Amino acid sequence: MKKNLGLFFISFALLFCSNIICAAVISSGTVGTVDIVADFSNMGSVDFSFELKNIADDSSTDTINWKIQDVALRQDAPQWKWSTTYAVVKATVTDPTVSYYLYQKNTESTVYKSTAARIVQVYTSSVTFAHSGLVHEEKQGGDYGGYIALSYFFSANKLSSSELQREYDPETMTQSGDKVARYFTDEADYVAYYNGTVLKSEITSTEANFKREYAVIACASAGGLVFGPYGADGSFAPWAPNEVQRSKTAYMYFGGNFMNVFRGDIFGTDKIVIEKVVE
Amino acid sequence: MNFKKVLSLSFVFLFATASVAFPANNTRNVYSVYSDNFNGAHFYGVNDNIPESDTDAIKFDIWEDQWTPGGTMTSESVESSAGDLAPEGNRYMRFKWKQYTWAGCGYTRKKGTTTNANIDMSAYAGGTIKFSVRSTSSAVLQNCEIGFSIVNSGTEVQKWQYLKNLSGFDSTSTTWQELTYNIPTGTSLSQVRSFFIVRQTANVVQNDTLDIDNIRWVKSAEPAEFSVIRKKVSDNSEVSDQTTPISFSEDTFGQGWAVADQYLELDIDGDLGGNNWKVRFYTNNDKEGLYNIADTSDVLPTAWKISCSTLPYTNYDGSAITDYNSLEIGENWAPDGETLYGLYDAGKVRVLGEGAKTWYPWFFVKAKDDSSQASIVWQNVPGNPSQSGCHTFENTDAGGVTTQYYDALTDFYERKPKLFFACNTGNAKASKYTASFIISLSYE
Repeated sequence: MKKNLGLFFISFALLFCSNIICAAVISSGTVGTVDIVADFSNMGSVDFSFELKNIADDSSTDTINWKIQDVALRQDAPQWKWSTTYAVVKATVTDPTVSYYLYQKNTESTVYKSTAARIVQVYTSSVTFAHSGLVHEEKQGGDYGGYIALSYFFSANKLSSSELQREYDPETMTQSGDKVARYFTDEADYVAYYNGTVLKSEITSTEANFKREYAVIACASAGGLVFGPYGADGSFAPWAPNEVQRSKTAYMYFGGNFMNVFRGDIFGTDKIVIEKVVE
Repeated sequence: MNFKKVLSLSFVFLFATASVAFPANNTRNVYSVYSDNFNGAHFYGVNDNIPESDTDAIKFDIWEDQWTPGGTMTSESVESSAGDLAPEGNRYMRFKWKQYTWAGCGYTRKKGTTTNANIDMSAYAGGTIKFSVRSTSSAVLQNCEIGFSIVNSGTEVQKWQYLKNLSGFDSTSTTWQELTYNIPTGTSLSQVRSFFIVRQTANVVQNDTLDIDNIRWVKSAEPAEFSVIRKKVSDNSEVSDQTTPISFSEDTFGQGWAVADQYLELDIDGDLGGNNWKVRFYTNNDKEGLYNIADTSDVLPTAWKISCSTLPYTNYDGSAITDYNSLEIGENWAPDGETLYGLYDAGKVRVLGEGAKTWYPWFFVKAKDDSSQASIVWQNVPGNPSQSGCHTFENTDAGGVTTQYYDALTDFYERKPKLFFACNTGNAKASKYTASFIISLSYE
């Protein structure tokens, strides 16, 4: 299998407005008025950085890599492997209107373009059509051998390779338990319900992956089904709910499910997006 | 007839002594002697070490026949109940004659180690003493006298009047009636010693009772005043510019529920013509909270809480009270099917421990067009003891369960409830949020 897992990160910002202060008078008597003001016009600073590093020596890199020697070929069963790359994410956000979205745009890719969604049925009432993950260069997605599922999780602490392998199971973390990983989702993913409702992948302002209040919130089930927020475990969620987080460093680790890969396959994605959006 | 002072009876409240100077209340429109809501005298119960600086300090004394074993009179503070309502606030006084002999009692100005003192009440010349009274005994109603005392040339002089001679008296009534005692014209009030005295000297029937409530001296023809003073949460000092808005510091941005830097101290000074009055607080528009001036559809959840004392509760000497409530707020959305829904005190709540979701003293503000109970922050409603006093509020959650919050003013010298504000800044934008609120006193 040829290693070709290029990643690009894009960000952009929108402006937000500020306003002025006013005052009012309350008088003695039977009726009076009082003004109450919460003036946050001067708030809203945002600083965000994302840096890829190799777990082995903390050297910087610009791609997310796997040690392909550890991958067994022709496995018709889940085979999750941790990437040898991690990301250092730093955020100082005092503007809760700012959200960071983490998602893929594989359908718009040039080399690793997904043209066929894989179909994931988790519930009897709905089906997910997913383009996310690493896309087979020639098969361009689809159900069998057309992709490698991609996941990630955040840690408040930097993990060594041995800690990662010993204590974190990339397969079960995407299913349940207190160590929560998320599937990457693609902008083109959507959920079809049997009642006729069709929803786009829930990459919305209230469920953004990096939103300060909600931590790693783009919760995913098996196969990339996005179904909404999931309570984050404190040890893994740098931006835990109900916790004031204005300056944090988090460490992001990546998992890949190398199921049904064969010699000569090339998988990749060049459209992972981190997007800053102001509501 | 003069009474011999032979002993004072124990009373129900104990207060810590204060080391601060008390401004006298003797120029107010209404000077309360026994009230849950209004200011005037500071009642020290049986405390024998009253600060001399408190020129409004009073104690309760009983005068009785010293030759009667076991005493001749008792008193108690009775808390309202559904079948026995106080006309004002949450308590009334009950006096009982134990023997077939004379006895009386009164609220008397004291200082230091309970030395008799006087206070200048000249501002009430030409005014009245008003009170509510009830007795099921015709003997009491026919023979009981009330009054006050002054000191003239070193001698205490008592001014008495039979209940039956007071305007509006109904000798057949066994329920509460409001009576007015006209302070005799020409009486010098420069040295008043006892604000309200009661006696029965003839035809005493054993175990007869007399209930008294809402005793106050009232100036003649003064309008009711309702003052609202801004104070700082940090040190409880008055805000120098009373026209400035209540505000939240920038540090609260994005923090979730946070308390404003200032609060309002309320004070009603007037004879409201009865005991049915309300103080309401609501926005002066259709929003239920602070709204973003750049986007008026963006409204921050906003709440209020009223307290008889500054928060967190402390003793008057500044030491902590273990039974207090805080300015920490938790929001219970009852996601797991819990019964209660709303904003609870997330501090150390009474005996229940820190963060206990059992005390829900915060209430969401209401819009102008909401005329429900939800906008009432302070009220006295005769006939409903649960809504008397500083504040009692019923908050009904989605499951129909009612939460009640009662905070009686009786326990504090100054009956000036504090109105605190909070809003949830968790989803605030980098903008200015504001709202104009109405605070009103209405009475019948």
